[in-house]
Amino acid sequence: MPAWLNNPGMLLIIAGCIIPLLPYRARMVVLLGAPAAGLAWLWQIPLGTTTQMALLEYTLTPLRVDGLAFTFGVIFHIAAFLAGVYMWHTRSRLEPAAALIYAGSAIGAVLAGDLITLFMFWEVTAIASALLLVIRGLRDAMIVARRYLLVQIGSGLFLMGGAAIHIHATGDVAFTHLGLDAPGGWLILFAFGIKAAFPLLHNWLQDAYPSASPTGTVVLSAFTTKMAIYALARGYAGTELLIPIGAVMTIFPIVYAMLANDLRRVLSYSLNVQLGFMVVAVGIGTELAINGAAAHAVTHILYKALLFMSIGAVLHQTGHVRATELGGLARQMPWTAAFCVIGAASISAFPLMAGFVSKSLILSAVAEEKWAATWVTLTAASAGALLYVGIKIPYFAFFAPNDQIKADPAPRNMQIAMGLTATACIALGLAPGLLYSILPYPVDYQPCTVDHVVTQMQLLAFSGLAFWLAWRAGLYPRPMRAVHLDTDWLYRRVLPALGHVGERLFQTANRRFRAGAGSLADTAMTRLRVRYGATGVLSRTWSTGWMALWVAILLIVYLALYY
Amino acid sequence: MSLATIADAFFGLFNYWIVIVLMMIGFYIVISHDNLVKKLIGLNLFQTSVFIFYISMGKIAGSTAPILTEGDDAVYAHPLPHVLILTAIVVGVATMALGLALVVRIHEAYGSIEEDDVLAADFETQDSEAATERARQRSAEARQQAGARDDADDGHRAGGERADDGHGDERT
Amino acid sequence: MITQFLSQMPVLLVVLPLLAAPVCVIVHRAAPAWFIYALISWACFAIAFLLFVQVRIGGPISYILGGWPPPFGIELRLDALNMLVVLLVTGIAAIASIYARASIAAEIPRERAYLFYAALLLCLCGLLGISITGDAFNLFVFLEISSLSSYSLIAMGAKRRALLSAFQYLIMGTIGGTFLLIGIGFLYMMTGSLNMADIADRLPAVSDTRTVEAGLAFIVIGLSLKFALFPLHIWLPNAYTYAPSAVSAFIAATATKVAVYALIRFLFTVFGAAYAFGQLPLGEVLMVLAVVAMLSGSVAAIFQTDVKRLLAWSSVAQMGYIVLGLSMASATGLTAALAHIVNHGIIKGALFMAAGALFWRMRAISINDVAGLGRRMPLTAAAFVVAGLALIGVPATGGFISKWLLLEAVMEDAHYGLAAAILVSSLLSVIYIGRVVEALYFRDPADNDGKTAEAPVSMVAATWVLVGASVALGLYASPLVETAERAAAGLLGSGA
Repeated sequence: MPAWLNNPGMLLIIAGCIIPLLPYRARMVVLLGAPAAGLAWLWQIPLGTTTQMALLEYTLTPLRVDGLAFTFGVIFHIAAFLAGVYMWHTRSRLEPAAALIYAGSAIGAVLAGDLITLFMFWEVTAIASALLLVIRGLRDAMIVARRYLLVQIGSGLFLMGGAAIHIHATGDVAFTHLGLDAPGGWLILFAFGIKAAFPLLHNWLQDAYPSASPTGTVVLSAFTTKMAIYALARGYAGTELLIPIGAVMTIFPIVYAMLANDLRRVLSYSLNVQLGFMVVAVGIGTELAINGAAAHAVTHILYKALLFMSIGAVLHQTGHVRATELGGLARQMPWTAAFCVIGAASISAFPLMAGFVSKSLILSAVAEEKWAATWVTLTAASAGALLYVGIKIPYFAFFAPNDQIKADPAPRNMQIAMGLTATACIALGLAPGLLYSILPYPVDYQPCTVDHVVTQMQLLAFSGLAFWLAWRAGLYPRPMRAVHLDTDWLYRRVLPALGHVGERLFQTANRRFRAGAGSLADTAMTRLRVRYGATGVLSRTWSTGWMALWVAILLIVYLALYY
Repeated sequence: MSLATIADAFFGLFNYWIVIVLMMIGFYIVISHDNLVKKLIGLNLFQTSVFIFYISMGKIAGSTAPILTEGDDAVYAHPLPHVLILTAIVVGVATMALGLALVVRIHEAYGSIEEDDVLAADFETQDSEAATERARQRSAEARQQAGARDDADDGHRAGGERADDGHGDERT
Repeated sequence: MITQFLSQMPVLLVVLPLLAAPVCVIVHRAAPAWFIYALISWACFAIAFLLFVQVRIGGPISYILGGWPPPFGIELRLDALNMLVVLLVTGIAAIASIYARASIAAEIPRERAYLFYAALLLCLCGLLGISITGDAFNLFVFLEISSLSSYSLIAMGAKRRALLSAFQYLIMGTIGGTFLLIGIGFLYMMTGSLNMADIADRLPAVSDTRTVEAGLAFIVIGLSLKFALFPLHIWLPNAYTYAPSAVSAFIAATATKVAVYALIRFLFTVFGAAYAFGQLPLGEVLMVLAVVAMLSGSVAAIFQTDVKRLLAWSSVAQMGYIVLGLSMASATGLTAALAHIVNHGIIKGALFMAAGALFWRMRAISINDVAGLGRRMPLTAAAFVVAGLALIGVPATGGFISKWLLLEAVMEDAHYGLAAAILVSSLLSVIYIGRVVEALYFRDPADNDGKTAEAPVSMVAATWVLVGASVALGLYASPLVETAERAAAGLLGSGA
C-alpha cells in the first residue's frame, strides 16, 4: 500500500468519496463502518509508528502515531461515528460524504507528521466543511459558506506561507515543536489561531455553525477547532502568549452567549469559551497541562456534540431554534430533554460528569504553574458556564413556559446517538481512568477529592443562585429577537465597502487611462483611434491594430533596454 | 565625415534602408488600416521586406548567380539564404491565402470587411449577451431565494424562519 | 529491421502526421479521417515514449536528415528537455483523438470534418517539429505550419466571432513568426550558421554587436506573441473561446507550451543564460511582465461570464507562472517552469475538455448555462472540480508541485514580493474556479427540460484520463520533477 494511503484518515476520505454512489442501506453501513474500522485500525497501531514517503526532495511523514496524535485521532473517530448515528435518517447523498471526508481529513491532519501533509489535510477540512455548510444549510447558508470558506482558505494560505518560510530556512519539513522564534512561526501561529477561533479571529465560528443543518452543525462542531488545538499543542506548547489569549477567549464570548437568542449561536459562543480553556492549557505546556488540553478536547467534543444534537433534534422536530419561540418541550421530547440536561451538566462541570474531570485537570495545571489571575479567570468562566449555557439551554428549550408548540419525540436514531454520547459523558466522569488511558502522558490525578467536589458544588450553587436572582430581578438578559453586533461587522460591512470604493477607483482610473491613451493616439496617429467604446471592460476584444501596436511598443522597450 | 562616406554608407546599405522602409510601411498599414484586406496587404509587405533582407544578406557585390559552370571560379552569391527565402515565400503565400479566405468568410458573416464595423457588431452581440446573462443571473438568484423559502426540508420546516435572526441588516 | 525502425524514430514523429494529413483530405470522409488521426496520434505517442526511454537511458539523440551532417544539414536533436514537451504534445494529441470524435461530430458539419482532422494532424506535425528540430530556420517553418493550421482550426468554430478571432490570431501570429524570422536572420548574418548548437558555439565571439542584441529582442518578442505573454496576449482569449471544444483543449494544452519551449531553447541553448540574463536585462523585463500577466489574467478571468473565456484568461495568468520561473534563470526556477509547462498543459487540457463536454450537452457555455449541471452530469462536473483544484494548486495535484517549486525558486532568490504575487494569484484562481463550481453544484438549473444524461462516454473518459494524469503527477511527482531538473541542469550547463 502506498504510504499516503496507509492512514485511517484516508480510509474515511475514500469511504466518503464512494458513499454518494451507494444505495441508502449501504450508505449507512459505510457511514458507521468507516469510522469504526478506522478506530480499530488506529487502535492497533503501536505508539511511535511513523511511515514515510518521498515528495520532491522532502521526506514526508503521512502517518505519525504518538500520544498526542492518538488522543485526537481516537476522539475524532468516535465523534465521526456518533455523528453518523445522528445523521442516519438523512436521505441526502452528499451530506454523509462531506461529513466523512471532513472527519477523515481532520484525522489525517492530526496524524500528519510534517507540515506539507498537514497543510494538505488542513485545506481539505476547509473545503469539506464548507460543503457540509452548503449542502443542506439554511437559507443564507450559501453566503455564510462563502465567508466561511474564505476565512478557512485564508488560514490555509497563511499556513502554506509559514511552512514555506520554515522549510526553506530549516530544510526540515517535520511538524514538531515550532515556537514563535522558528522561521515562519508567527505566520503558522496565525493560521492555527484562525481555526482555533482566537479573539477577533473567531467570527467565522458563530457565523457558520448556527447556519448549517441540524446534523451538519454536530459534525462541524467536532473537528476544525479541535484540530487547531491539536496543532497548537504540537507546535506551540508552552508559548506563554497563548495564556492571555486563552484567558480572553474564556471571558468575552460569555456576554454574547447570554444575549444571543438563537440557541445554536449560544452554543457556538460557549464553544469558543471552552476552546479558551484548551488554549490556556497549551500555553502552559507542562505534561499535566497538555493532558488537560487533550482531555478537555475529548470531553468537550462529546458534550458539545450532545448539546448540539439535542438542540438539533428540537430544530428538526419544531423548525425553531430561538429561545423566544421554544420552551415547554420537556413533556413532548422527554428523552431529548434529559440528554440535554446531561450535556449541560457536563459543560458546567458538575462532579461525576466528563467536563468536571477535564476542567479540573486544566485548573490544576494552571494552579501548579502559579498563574493566579488566569486561575481565577478560568474558575469564573467555568462557573459562569452554568449561567450562559448550563441553565439557559435546557431552560429555554424545554422548561420555559410555552404552550404554543407541539412536537413529536426525535427520530429513533437521533435519540440513540444522544444516548450514546450522554453515556460517554457520564462514563468518563465516573471512571476517569478510561479517559486517562488515551491521554498523551501518564496521569495520576484524582479529580473527585472531597474538597474539590465541595468547592465545585459551592461554585455551582452560587452561580445557580446568581442566575435565579438575576432572572428574578430582571437583570438576566431576556432573549430578544435582535441581532447582536460582534466584531464581525468589520469584515461584513467595512471590507465590502472598501471593496466598492476600490472597484470604483479602479474603474475611474481605467477610464481615465483609456481616455488619456486615446487622446495621445489621436494626436500622434489619427487613424489609430480605437473604436471599441469607452465602456469596454478590461477584457474586451481589441482591434488588431492595437495588438500590433503593443508589439511595436514592447519591441522598442526591449531595444531601449539593451542599448 | 565627408559627404562621400555618408553617401557610401547610404548607398552601400541601400538594400537595408529599403528593407527598413518597407517594413515600417507594412507594419504601419497593419496598425492603422481598418480594412482587413489592406491589413493583409500590409502584412505581406512586412513579410516581403524580410525576404529582401535575407536575399541582400546572401548577395555579394559583383557576384553571379550561384550556378556551377565548367572551370569557372567566379564569385557567386550565397545560395542558402535564397533557398531559405523560397520556403518563407511559400509560408507567406499560404498565410495570405488563408487570410483572404478568412476575409471572404468574414464578409459573408458580417457583410463588411472593415474591422471597426465587425468589432462593433461583435460588441453589440457581446453587450446583448452580457445583458441576457445578467438578467439570467438575477432571475436565477431570485428563484434560488424563493426555492429556499418553500423548501420544506427537515431542519427548517418553518422555512424563512431565520429571516431576521443571524444575518439581518438591522442592528441593535 | 527493428533497429532500422528504432534509428528512424525521431523523423517519424514529424513525417507521420505530415503524410497522414493529405491522406485525410483524400479519403474525404469524417470517420476514416478520424481513424487516421487517432492511429497516427497514438503511434506518435508510442514513438515519443520509446524515444523518451531511449533518451533517459542513453542521453541525447541526434538525428541527421538526408545524410548532411550538421551544421550544414538539418539536425533533429532530442534531449531531456524536448522529450518532455514531445511527450506532452503527443499525449494530449492521443487523448484528444478519443475526445474529438463525438465533440467534433456535434460541432462541425459532417462534410467538413475530414478537413478538421487534416488540419489537426498538420498542427501536430508543426508542434512536434518545433520541439525536436535542432535548426533555427527549420523551427520557424514548423512554427508557421502549426500556426497556419491552428488559424484554420479556430476558424471552424460555430459562431461567426470565431472568424475574426482567427483573423486576428493570424495577423498577430504572422507578425510573431516574421519577427522570429528577422531574429534568426540577424543571428545567421553574424554567425553564418543555422544549427542551434553551432550558433551557440560561434555566438560568444560576436555577442557584443548590436545585431545580435537586436536579434535576441526580435526572437523574444516574436515567441512571446506566440505564447501570449502579457501584453501580447490579446488574441488568445477570443481564439480559445470561439474555437471548437476539441481545438481549445488541444491548442490550449500544447501550442503555447511549445512556444515557451522554443523560447527556452533560444535563450538557454542558443544565447546562453549568462548572455541573455547576465549581460542583458532580459530576466527583469520578463519577470515584470510575468507578474502582471499572473495578476491581470486572473482578475480578468474573474469577470468572465463564459466558462471557456474564463479558462482562456486563466491561461494568460498561468503562462505568467511559467515565464516567471524561467525569468529567474536559476536551476529551481527552470525546473518549476518546465514542470508547470507539463502540469498546466494537462490541467488546462482537462478543463477545456470538461467545458467542451458541458457545451456538448447544453450547446452553450456561459456560467448560467452550466448552472446545476453538477447533478445532471456528475462525472463531467467532478472532473472540472478536480482539474480546477489542480489549477489552483491544491496539494496532491500536479499544480501544487509546480507552484511549490516556483515558490521555492522565488524564495531562493529572496523575492518575497513575487511569492506574495504567486499566492495572490492563487487566491484569485480560487475565486474564478469557485464561480464555476458554485454554478455547477449550488445553483438550480436554468431550465427544467430534463436533459439529464452525461456527455458521451468517450468525451468523459478522455477528460478523466487527463484529470487522473494531473492527480498522478501530484502524488508521484518525482519522475516529472527529476526529468525537469535534469533538463534544467542541461540547459544551464550548456549555457555557461
